[in-house]
Amino acid sequence: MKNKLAAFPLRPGDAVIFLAIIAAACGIWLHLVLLQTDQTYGEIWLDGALYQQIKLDDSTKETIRLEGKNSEVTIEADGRQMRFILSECPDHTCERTGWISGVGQTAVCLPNRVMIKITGSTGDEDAVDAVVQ
Amino acid sequence: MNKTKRIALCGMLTALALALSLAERMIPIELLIPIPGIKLGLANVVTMFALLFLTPGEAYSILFCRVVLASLFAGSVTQMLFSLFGGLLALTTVWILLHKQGTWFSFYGISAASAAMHNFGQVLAAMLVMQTTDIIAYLPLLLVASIPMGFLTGAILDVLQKHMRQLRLVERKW
Repeated sequence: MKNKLAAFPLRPGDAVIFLAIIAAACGIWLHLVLLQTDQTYGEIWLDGALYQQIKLDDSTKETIRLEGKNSEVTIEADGRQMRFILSECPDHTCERTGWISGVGQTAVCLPNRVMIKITGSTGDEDAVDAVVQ
Repeated sequence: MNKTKRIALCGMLTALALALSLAERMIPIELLIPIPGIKLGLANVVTMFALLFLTPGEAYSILFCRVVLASLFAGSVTQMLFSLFGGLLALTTVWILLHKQGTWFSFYGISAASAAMHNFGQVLAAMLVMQTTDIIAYLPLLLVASIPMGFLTGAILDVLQKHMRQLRLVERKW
């Protein structure tokens, strides 16, 4: 009898597991989608502290050069997106990350401790305060 | 099975899990399916096998030894922490679900749940270490990927346990 059952390997509970996994994935994805806002800001973090915040809109066109932990880093903000264009470090991981534009997206240059990040209009008040200090 | 044989078997399984987890790094699956952090989870088959044919205590010991040794050979302390977190969560999930194996769940579903919990645990550990929730963005794709990956390891475990039962090398618990 056991052999007859084994002909079809899946059991009803498996469907529950698969659905639960897909539901969890969709839930997190939806949460990330809901984070998106019309107005976005590009933040540049240097060694764990906010270095500069740029308001991103269609007319944005800026190139920022800053001295990282070990060498110089160049960041470009163009329209609603931002990217690393040059980092004088051995691995060029940050350059390969390419453009980022969605809220919550980040690109990191680990050797220079520089991170760029896109944030939405919510919660940026704290970030602005950090610049004033 | 006497005690000496059990210990020898545990040692062999630990070595096998370690070899599998190191061999797995040579398979460039990230090139095939470009999801950051994706892997097959072959070493997971060994711990699930241990849970099936040995005691839960022995399965947890094998997992612990494998994770610690794997990060000693190739990896870092943070990596060990991530693997341990994911591995413990995954193994506990398997342990709970195995009680209903054959009636409610098959090895395929149990493996998929295990893979999903492993990914969840790793991302959770990463969020704790880096003090940021931004990393959760990696989770949706990793969770979806855990279904085919779980299917693969589940298939291996299913075939393996059928043959091992016939060999009568170890008595089957479930």
